[in-house]
Amino acid sequence: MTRHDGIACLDVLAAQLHARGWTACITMPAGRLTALSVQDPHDRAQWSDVIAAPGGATGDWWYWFSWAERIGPVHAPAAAAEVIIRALQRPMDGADLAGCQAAHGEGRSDVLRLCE
Amino acid sequence: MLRDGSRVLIRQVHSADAPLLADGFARLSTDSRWMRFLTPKKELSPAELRYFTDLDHHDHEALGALDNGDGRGVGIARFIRHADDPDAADIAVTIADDWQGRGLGSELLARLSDRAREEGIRRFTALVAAENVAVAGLLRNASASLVRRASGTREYEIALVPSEEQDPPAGLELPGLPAERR
Repeated sequence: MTRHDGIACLDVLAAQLHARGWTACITMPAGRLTALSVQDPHDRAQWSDVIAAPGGATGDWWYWFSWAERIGPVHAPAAAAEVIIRALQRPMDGADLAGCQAAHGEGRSDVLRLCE
Repeated sequence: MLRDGSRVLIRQVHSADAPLLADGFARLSTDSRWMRFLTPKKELSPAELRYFTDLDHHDHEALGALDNGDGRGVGIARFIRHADDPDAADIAVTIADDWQGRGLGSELLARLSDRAREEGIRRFTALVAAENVAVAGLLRNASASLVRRASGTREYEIALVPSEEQDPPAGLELPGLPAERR
């Protein structure tokens, strides 16, 4: 695969993330790795980056978090999108937790699970 | 104690360390951030801070080094087990700019290797920016082999010898060291 194939892989992943309500756009900084910048729809201030690069002795292409953790093989973009969302969803803050408790009944033993 | 005589405390990272991690990241130079994150990175998001500090210490472990003087974070090393290969884990090491070149990266990597062995991991893999000569040197010193060279990245692999294989055979004395001190 070439660099252009890598960009095509990121494009496929972007479509998977768009289908799940996330924003994703390809960024190509001069002289640096092409990345897919992804954004939680509930946290428009924050971006994280994903790259596509070969890995392992076989040279198969993988999606990677930019912190050098492999996400999954490029032939499974839907699974990769799920991993990304699980990892990068905005943590629930105090206000959300209070709202959740009000909605589900503060003090119930199952509230915390619902809020997670 | 590091080779220049400076002292650090090395310990596991916990969820309460998010502010410490954010502070450490903020003090990294632009180049160090790029080397670590392979892309331009201005700050860590709350989700990323949670991801990097809320660890299960089995599939995802991180060891942080704190300056003995002021308690600030000066280095961190982590492994994250491959989802499809439980014997392998991706690793990364980050050292604050003014602490680089003192042997801290090697110390963190050695201790991370010990933790990984305890968790049943047999090899480390590391995806590194092609320009990151410091980490490439650190990995080579840890007997890493270069397994893939791609546009902009290099991938290294380290075989983790099980601890029992590292010990000298029974009955073999280390020169000048009484057996009970080993």
